[in-house]
Amino acid sequence: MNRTTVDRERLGLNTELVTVNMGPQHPATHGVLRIVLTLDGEVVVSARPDVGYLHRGIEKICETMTLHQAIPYTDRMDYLAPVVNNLGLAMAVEKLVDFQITEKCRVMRVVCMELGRLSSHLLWLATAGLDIGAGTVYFYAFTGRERIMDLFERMSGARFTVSYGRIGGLARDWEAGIERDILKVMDLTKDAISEVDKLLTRNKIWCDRNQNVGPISAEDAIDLGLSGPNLRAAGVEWDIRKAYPYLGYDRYDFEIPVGEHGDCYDRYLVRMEEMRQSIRIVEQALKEYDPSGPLFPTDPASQKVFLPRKDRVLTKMEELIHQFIVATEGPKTERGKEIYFSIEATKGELGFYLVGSGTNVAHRCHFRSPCFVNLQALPVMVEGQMVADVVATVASLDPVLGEVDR
Amino acid sequence: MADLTNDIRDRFPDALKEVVVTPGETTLVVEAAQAKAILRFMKAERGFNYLVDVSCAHWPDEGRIDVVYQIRNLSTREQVRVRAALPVEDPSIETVADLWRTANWLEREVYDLMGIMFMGHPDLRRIMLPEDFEGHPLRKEYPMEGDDEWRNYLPPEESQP
Repeated sequence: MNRTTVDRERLGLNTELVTVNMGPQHPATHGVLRIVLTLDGEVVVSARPDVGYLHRGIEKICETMTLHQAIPYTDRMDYLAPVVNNLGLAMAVEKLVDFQITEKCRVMRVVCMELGRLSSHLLWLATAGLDIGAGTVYFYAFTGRERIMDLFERMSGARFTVSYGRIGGLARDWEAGIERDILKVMDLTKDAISEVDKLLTRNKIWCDRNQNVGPISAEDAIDLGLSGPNLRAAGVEWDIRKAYPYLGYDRYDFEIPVGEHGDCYDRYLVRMEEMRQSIRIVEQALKEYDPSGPLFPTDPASQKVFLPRKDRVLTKMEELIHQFIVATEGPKTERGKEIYFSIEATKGELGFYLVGSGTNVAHRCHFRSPCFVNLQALPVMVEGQMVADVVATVASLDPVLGEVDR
Repeated sequence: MADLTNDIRDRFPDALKEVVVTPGETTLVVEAAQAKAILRFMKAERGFNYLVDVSCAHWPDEGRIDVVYQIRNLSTREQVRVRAALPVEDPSIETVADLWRTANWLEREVYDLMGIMFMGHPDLRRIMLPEDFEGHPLRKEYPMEGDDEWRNYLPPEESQP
């Protein structure tokens, strides 16, 4: 894959290796990522990613508080699609303590998950384009993302770090008629995607800048534990939503896009197609949405373990007490019981390894971060390539440093 | 899954201490000294080609630190968790970075935050925390808050990764 083979000795060019720090303040590294590059002229001889600048000890913090209190911290991991992390943690805890969610909540979660995926991929598209000079794309993609953020604002009250997940349900009900607006936004997003598609997919500069850049083989991708669009671009058909369906994903009709060459261009194509598939899932899920159903289980046995309805909390004494007890105590875990639960987050496999402690605090709360594992493959992709391609490759991996460092 | 555990019992008679099966999950509790041999067998002969995660848990009252591997066979979708207990005084285990390259950073993270030594690891350095950080924060005895800010920054030329 070495594209630049200059016979230096024959030409009498004596170059020495130069070590260059790319980052942690480089704008194109999508956060505080430092890459120590050893360069021979413009060719990358070795690349060593150095992470940890954003380490906040989220795992340790989550092990000192109740499981409900841990939810806002998950927002700060993959902060481009916070709702996916919230719901992932909520579902992992539900697996740990054996909670069943209602049908309406399931449908709402599917829609939120896919909206999160869309907003994250649109932001990726905007910034990855900007990194390699396609500035126009930024506006189309960000306009599309902005509409989804507005939807999140209407659902949860927050645009960015939504903290919308709750153990056993969601923070609050949707307002009446929002499903029609979601469908409208989906139509507009389709338009935005096809605009970007026209701008980029057959664009000579975009193709030259991405094709054969940062390639990785399927064997390497599996051996290095890549997941999500990066693994699929390498030609491995693997999606947690299909392999271990959660939230009833098996009942929706969608396809897993797979690439061929594992280069930046394939990763771009895979993400573009994933966005279209996400819209399909949202449209199918909204057909099943019944606003009259309950958000949390309503049978009497559930009253003391699930959060009560918010409108009743504000008007009834009994529910107010339940809300207080449930939110401050949270579900009790069984000592030594361990679970691993993973979801197909926007960047790849987001896994939760939880161990119960016998109290309402998790004994161990480990997050398997897809970006952390994906970033490890960077040296394999860029060594032997040009230094300018490092920027394109980092962008195509879509790392979020909040999730890499936790 | 049952034939897998039987196979492991046949090949490693004393290594398998316990098999915990919960809905959708299988946990093999193994002897730490033979953990790598079992993992190698599972990769080579049972097609567990994908290392999902390496994690850990500290149980101070029982004096052990667990190291936990999640491994997966991408073609059959089987997923198994392999857990080995290490003594708190000397938590060390052989690395699996030569079986799955994924393990390189995952083991560095576990070493950094929990202090488990991975013998034979190609590059066992701290990954999240600075090189001169003292202690391993995910140990239960490590305090949640300190009294002061952490200050001892090294000059930049000494902190090459």
